[in-house]
Amino acid sequence: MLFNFAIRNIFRNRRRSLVTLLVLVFGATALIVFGGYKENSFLGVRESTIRNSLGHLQIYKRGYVQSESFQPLQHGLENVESIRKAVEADPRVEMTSAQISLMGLVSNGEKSEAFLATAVEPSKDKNMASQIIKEGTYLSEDQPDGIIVGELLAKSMNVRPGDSLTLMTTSVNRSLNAMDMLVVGTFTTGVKDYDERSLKMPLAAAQRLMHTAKVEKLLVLLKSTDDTAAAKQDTARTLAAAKFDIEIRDWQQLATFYYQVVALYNGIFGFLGCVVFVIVVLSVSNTVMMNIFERTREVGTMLAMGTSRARVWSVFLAEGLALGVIGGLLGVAIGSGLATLINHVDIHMPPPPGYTVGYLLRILLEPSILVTTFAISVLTATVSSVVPGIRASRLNIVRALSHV
Amino acid sequence: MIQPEALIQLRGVSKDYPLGKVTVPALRGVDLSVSSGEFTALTGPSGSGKTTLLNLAGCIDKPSDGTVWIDGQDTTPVALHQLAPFRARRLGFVFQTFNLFPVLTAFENVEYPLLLSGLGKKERREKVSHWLAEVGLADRSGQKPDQLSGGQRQRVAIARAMIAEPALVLADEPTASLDSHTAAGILDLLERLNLGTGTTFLFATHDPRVMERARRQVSLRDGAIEDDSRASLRHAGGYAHAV
Repeated sequence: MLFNFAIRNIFRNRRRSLVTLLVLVFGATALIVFGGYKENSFLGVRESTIRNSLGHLQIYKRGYVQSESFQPLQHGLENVESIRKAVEADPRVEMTSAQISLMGLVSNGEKSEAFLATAVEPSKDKNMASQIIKEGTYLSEDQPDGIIVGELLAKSMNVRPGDSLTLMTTSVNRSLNAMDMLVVGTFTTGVKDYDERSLKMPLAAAQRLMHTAKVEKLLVLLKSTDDTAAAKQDTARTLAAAKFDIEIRDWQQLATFYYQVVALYNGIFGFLGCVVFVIVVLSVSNTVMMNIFERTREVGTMLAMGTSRARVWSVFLAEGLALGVIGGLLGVAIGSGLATLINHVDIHMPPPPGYTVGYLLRILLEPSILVTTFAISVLTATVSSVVPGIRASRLNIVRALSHV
Repeated sequence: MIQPEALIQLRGVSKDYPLGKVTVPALRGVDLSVSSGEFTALTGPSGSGKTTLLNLAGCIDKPSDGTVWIDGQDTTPVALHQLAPFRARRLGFVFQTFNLFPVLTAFENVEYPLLLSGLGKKERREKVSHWLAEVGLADRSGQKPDQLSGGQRQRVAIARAMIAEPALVLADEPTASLDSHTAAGILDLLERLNLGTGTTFLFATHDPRVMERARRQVSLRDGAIEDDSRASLRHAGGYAHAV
């Protein structure tokens, strides 16, 4: 009867209850839309970080991690094909890709600029390429001296597909070496700083330029990110059993940017969540307080008739709970509807700071977000009723009965 | 001296109310005993202390001085909220403005005190039906207070006050909001219940109709008892000063 009593009291002052429900629905909708956007952003950044640059796992020769910034190829992998064969035997592995990172100077004969290059296996890298080709084509096994250049670097060097550039870097034996390369395409990663400095070249060309047969690392791409921990453990065990002297890092150890995004978004959405929480708490508290004020004589009657303080309190708590349940259900329904609509109409967002490419607004509708939102609505509305309910239960009976 | 057979015993009861920086005395050293089964009216002009006395007897207010014994229990040292189970079990209330819960039906309003006692659903249903029939509203059980007339609302309130079989029913101006015909019906009902169940009734009233029907009339003035008369003596044209 308590909950029944509460529900009926909620609909006693329909307009006020409606306003409170609207606030709850607003809060729940905001949580679903912002929460879904945040989750979608996390998933997007995580998967693009993994699939476009880091891979799920990176395999290096032991000692690489300590000397990485100095002379990576001193600790390069020599027997990469054998390692690759052992790793790709795991059915969870989608593919592997060997890489070398190098830096040096790029020249068009008139001016030189610093570059950061990633040397890749074109056929493998094509499947995990983070860049969008703006002009020309991607690297190809048929073009052993072909390179693709960041569009801002290409602009700075005044080159287009078909033009030549000279790459100059230090080889593994510390001598200076240079090679003429053919620009086959320009690309953008969406990150301005990266587009101004980066280029990609075939792994074999980089090995020639650096006088080495080694590769810096072997990237492992899994079919599912959820398998990362297990696959890392099994790969380490398999390679150790085969006497490969290697070490492995997973994407979580490498994805600094991803964790920065997570921290930033959590901060922003945490603040927004607090604002929404305060609005909802104040609104529901106000409704319950107004209810108590209007029903002072009723509360006095309840107390006079021998209703315990705890029961009076629980009546108002039940009203808050009922408001929370109704508001939460409506909020989840409306929030889900709005999220679906946003996903359906393809809203284009402007590029974030430091990026040159915008993105489509997407809201991830995960059951966990909906359940959490509903739970927060119920909890918030119930908690908001605690203090007003206590005040009602402690009313002076005589004064309450004479309240007009 | 406490009389063991008295249902209500007030000894030297005073009640002061703070009003700004001054204290206003509502009752001044009142002694009153009411026995079980009495049908007593507290009368007097506004501000004489009738409602204050009724509140003290109903254990919803505390005296500033003196002792209040109800149904053999000294209620004075016990906090009001701790007296809630006692009120639920032994006392019933009827108010001038009925004070029914507007969202509940007549049946649910009458049932409410039984929910506090934790009675089973079947027994509750039987008792509520019995009491609604007793007050002549068996066919109105599903209606909410705003669908009932003033007299019907007061009948529901009386059924609610009686359903837990209290020792004492306190009624503050129970006929003040009713027309003469309806008030007479309510008084008939209350008198019948008093005689039929032996429940003690204590009224605070201005209404001459109630005073006339009361078998004992305690008249207050300026917070003190001025007269205390029994019906037989009143009807014979005299007054007995019991206190």
